[in-house]
Amino acid sequence: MKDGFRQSMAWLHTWSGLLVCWILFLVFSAGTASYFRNEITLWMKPELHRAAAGPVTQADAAAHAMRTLQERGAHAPRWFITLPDERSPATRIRWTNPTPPGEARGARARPNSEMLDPATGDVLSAARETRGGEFFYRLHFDLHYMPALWARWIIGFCAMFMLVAIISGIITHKRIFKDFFTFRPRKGQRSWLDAHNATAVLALPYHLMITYTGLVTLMFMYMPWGAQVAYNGDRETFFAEAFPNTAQKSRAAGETAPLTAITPLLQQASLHWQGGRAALITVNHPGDKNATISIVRAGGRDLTHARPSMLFNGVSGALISTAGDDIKAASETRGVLYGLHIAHFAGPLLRMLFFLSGLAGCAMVATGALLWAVKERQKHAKALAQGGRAGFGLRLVEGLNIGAIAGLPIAFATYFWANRLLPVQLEQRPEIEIRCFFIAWAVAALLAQLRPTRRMWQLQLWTGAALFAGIPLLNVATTHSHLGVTLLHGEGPWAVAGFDLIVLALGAGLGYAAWTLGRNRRPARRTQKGVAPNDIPDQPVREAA
Amino acid sequence: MTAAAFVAGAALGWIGVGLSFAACVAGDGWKIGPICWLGTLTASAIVLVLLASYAPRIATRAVLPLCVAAAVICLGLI
Repeated sequence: MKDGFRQSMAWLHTWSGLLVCWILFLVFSAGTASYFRNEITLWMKPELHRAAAGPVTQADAAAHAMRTLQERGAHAPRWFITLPDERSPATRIRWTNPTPPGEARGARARPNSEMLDPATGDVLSAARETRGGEFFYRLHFDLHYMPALWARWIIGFCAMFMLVAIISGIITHKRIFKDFFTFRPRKGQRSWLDAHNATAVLALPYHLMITYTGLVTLMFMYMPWGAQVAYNGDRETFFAEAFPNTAQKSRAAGETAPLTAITPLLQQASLHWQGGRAALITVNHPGDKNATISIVRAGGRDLTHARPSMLFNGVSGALISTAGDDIKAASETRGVLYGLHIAHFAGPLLRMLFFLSGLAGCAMVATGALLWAVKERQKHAKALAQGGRAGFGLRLVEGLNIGAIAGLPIAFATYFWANRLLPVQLEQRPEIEIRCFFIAWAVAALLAQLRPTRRMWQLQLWTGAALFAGIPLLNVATTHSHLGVTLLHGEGPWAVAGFDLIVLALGAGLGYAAWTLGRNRRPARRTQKGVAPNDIPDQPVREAA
Repeated sequence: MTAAAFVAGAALGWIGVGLSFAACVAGDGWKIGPICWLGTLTASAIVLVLLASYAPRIATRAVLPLCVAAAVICLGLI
């Protein structure tokens, strides 16, 4: 090796980071938003806000849902009831219509789904259709407009590069303890390095955890060989042991029998789980003699992702079996790593801390990408000062930086604006909302490639700031659960008020970044046009999400 | 700052870090507590860095009251 160990690690860090940083920025942003995916979904369905205000016991909600399903899905082979909790206040029921005779068996079962008011069991029919926060959750590992399998390989590849970049970054960072709290603003390249170090080091436990556990969530896809060898290719046994559940294939007897009441079963389950709450109820063959009812526990104060479940006879109410009470070590390890990634166990405060660390992750990726461009520009400073053009690579990176770091917030905000402005009864509404997201992003990215200049940074940052900060105002104009109601009158769900406040803060952050960029511009104008290395904003786009 | 004062300050700081860990575990249990602790440290470190860079005056003045408040909260939780 010609260079020292640290130099080679620095090289590795630079290139493993730069190559995938724009996709990582997308993954970090969408993943960070996913911490609040239920809240985002609720916000995007303003018709549900009223129902969200009053608390209802689970037993009542379940009983109401069962009654509604008796009416609506009497002949369905299976019912699903997702019970309300603090984060998603409406009961959700799903059932499949039986295949009509004459159609081939195995033809696509047609699923039905409704949201219910938990207090009455009435269908909340007017709720607009949207993918809500689910879109961001899927986006962060399935991307969009491509087969999910390809996307997961791409994301896995990028995540592996991220892990390499984190570890090589730690080795490269010589003064990791000395510079722990160091941030020197208004010092050009130095400040970018400081900001990159600070956002990386201060949230390092989070970055390491989220990258590693992210790979773990899809490990059976990336590295199936261990399980293949150990189980001799018997995938079914492997999955049954890796993901214990009470699902079993049973056949309908063809004789009718009334369903047992759900309330005693919920009580029994709660007792068995020492106060743990139920989250999902599945009824197989309702109304048949062979009916079964399975109850899955909610994620509680446990780290693990695995959820225990119980299976009851649907007619007599007798307990048939339990699963997942006593999980083997390997399964438990994976469950905990998975659980850490999705943080279902987190209460409001911890969820906010996860969100904050996620933003730090966005800022780390963004500052890293900017740092490369700033350094590269420094190398060619003389040639550029004499009026030379930036090289192709530098132009490309600067364009991609603007398109990702300033363009992505525009896309996020456009998605929310589209949710409020598109007609409620529009055909294929969810898909059109998503299309708005990508159109906005494509326009921003294209403009950035055409003119990767400081003005473009300013323009896009201001646009993002205006769109984000405008969301609470838009809410005033289009809904009855805006900040004036949720915050001033103390009515309505807190999640909606929180959403408005967070987007307002993000808008303010973007606005501050744009403003700093404009302020630093004036003295620099005398020397040269375009992006000069020493007058890029001191404040990184910390709030970019 | 003398060496003795530096050592004393550092010792107090580390005791504070230990105390906050105890408080998190007492508040959230052994499973969630450590995660909450790391998250809190990250959040407070970011606030500290921003304060020290952009409002150093406020940072130096706020240190003592904040330390006392934090210690009271920690002891209260334990």
